Amino acid sequence: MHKRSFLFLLIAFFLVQVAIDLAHSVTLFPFVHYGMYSEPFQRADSTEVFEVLVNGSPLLAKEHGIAEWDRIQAPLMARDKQSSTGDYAFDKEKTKEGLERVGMGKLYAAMAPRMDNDSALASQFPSWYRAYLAGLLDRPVRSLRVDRAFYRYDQGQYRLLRKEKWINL
Amino acid sequence: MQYARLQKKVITAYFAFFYYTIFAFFFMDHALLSQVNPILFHYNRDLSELALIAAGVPQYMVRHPGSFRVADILLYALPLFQLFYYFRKGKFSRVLGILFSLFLALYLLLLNIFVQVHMEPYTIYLLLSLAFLTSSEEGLQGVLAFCRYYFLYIFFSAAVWKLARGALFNMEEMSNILLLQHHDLLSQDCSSLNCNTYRTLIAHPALSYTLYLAGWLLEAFFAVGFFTRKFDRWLIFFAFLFFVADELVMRIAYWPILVGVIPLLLPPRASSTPKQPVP
Repeated sequence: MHKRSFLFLLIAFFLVQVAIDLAHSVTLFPFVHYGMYSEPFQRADSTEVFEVLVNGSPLLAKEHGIAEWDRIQAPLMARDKQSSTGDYAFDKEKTKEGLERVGMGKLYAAMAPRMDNDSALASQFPSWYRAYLAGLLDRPVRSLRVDRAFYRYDQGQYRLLRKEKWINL
Repeated sequence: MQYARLQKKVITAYFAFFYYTIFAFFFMDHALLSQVNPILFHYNRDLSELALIAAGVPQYMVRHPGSFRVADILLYALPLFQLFYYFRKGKFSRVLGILFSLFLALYLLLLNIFVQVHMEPYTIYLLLSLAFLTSSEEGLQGVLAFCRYYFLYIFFSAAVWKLARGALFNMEEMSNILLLQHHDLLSQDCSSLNCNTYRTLIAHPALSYTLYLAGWLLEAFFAVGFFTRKFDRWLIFFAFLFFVADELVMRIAYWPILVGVIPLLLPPRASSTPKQPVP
């Protein structure tokens, strides 16, 4: 009996896993994708890099471990995405449409206020990031500058196209 | 029976070692929730995360930053309670086991929502934690068999994805991946050995594609594990090889997933004795 119910659970788990894999664009933790760079990559015309200057000196990827560099870059990428998507307006719209389709529009109306980031807090991102960097790098951050730099890979190296100031504290 | 008891001890020690090592690294990398003290939450196209956001959990936590500290304390303390119970009573507490599994799932979701730590390398921890819910030998063997299949699936599904989405047929794939993956390194002073190696691989797509193809073959080889345990030692070696290469070539630290080799290290032993609870 135990063996049968285990087998049933095992099959059910992997069926859901495969279904989520086929759904492609969404996951349902703990059913996640292990694509590991499986989409065909094309060379982009340009690429955007966040350049961080702390106390006047640039932070260099080669001087930080993999995980630490991730921790430096990840909040910038996330804030950029949150801002450029209008606080994930598309995701919220799709959630609303999905719930309305199954007659649960009222549920979305109840959930909606909890799904937004606080815009006043979002505007404090630069000072939050400065404090966060000070903790991460374990040194005082007296001045902070973050630029969006756009590069093109040409003849074996990245060449700067343009730079936009983002954070300057 | 003796063997099952030994298995449980080995799993407990191995799991605890990996668990506390990775979360010690999280502490050192300033990635725990209370260290980050986030002010924003993010959407990552995961329905479980969406449910958590819709329930108002991230918004509540941002408004009550003390909750980040509580979450971090529970992260370290819950397994200790379970270990303490095990040493005193000689068995695991099912209630503590359920609490730990649920909390671990919650913490992993929150990490992705607040700190952008992807859940993929840590999902296997959640599945292995199910071993601490069962006292029967049959149950333990079941969890181990399940985790073994899941570990194989991680690699095999990656191979299938690459085939199905066509990346395997793109000769410039690896060159383009490296260009994007290391753009921050390549756009800065690129005089180090690894930066020059990336540059060479980018400039020679055939060479870098060979690496991609080798990686794919290695992933695809995990399919044999679904049919036989004969090659499990090889699969463990390949998993190590894969994650070392991942670290060197891609600068991706995927090694925490290696906790998943434990079911391959501990094969079940056929037993003619009746099934009994495992203390």
